[in-house]
Amino acid sequence: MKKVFSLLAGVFLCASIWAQGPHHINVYIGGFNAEYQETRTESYTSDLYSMYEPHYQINSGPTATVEYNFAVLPWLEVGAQANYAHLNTLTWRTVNGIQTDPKQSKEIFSVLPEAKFRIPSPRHFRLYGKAAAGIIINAGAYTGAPVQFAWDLVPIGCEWGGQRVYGTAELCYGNIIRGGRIGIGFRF
Amino acid sequence: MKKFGLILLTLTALAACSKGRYEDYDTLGGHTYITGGSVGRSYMMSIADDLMAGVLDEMVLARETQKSGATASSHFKINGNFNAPGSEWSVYSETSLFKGLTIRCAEENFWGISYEGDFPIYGVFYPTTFTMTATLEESGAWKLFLNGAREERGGYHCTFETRAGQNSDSRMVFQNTLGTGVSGWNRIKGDLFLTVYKNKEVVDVSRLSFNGTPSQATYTRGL
Repeated sequence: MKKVFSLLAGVFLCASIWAQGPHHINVYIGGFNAEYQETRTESYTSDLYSMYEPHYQINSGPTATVEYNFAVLPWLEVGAQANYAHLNTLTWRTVNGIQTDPKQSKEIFSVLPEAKFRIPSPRHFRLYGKAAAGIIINAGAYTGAPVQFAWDLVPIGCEWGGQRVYGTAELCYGNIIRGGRIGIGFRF
Repeated sequence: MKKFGLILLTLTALAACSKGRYEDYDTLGGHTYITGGSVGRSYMMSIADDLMAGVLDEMVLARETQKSGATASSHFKINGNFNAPGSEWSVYSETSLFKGLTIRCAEENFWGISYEGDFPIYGVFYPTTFTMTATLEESGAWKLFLNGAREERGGYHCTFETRAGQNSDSRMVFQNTLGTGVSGWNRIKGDLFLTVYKNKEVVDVSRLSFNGTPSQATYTRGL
């Protein structure tokens, strides 16, 4: 968690120095990693598969996101987002009881070029939607291919506050985060 | 700057709350944590209880049906005297877990039993086949020899059988009927073995040994 906040604070401070113009930098902290959300739905059945097959309990911290966009039209911005999440997992077989296997950890990075669409809205409450596609890079000891396709869709998001520094919140769905993100943005 | 501080504070609080929530999952794991000895033992106990003692309950019911002089039954398809060599009884009741179980009398007080169908072991139905022999001793005890197999999901299958282990006899002795299930057949002696395969490779061999003491069995894995 410390790493995540240091990273976000660093980006925030750098961006605030240049805070003017048509560029946007947003930093977010978001809900939990999509892989974690998929894994925790696994259910237990009293059969040999559930007894002998390894089970994974994945814990996820929040996902940190840094995003840059450039306004090419009043209603369209293009740019990219970079995400980071740290997951750790505990592996065990039910037939062995609660295992003492060491936790394995995994870092998930993703980079996604994106387009952001502005929706006509009040000056201090600006609505938008986003679509992004790119790659996920898995670095760590367990599950998942090293590189995977990534996608992220924001059906609705909003910015509030001033033109230069503003708050932002959005709903998102994809294989990065499912749920939402909240953050702060700069325009320069 | 105040705004910035406030937002960072909010984000920190949000992250802290979230971390606490997932520590709960460390405890619960999103699963039912069952100790290993317990789950493996329960699986084998289910073979002894639901399957073997269940078959014995069917045998007792068949003998009672025979004693009553009935020639037709809503539970059994009857062909001959239950204890007469050459007779064949089969369970055809739709509500019975043993629908399709066939009991053939080979000689007086000695039966061959076979079953093929979806049977619940540890509460889960999978295709199961087994053959048994049952001998009724003069003391009223039953001696059972079991050999069966079961196909489960994910490439898993298992075989189970009675054979000599902690006890010298390859059959298991069930006696002292107090009711139904192993709590009724409360004096059991013998060894039940379970071999678990994944994709036809053996992954585990375990044994459940009964020593004739009510409600006691020793479970051993990794044989």
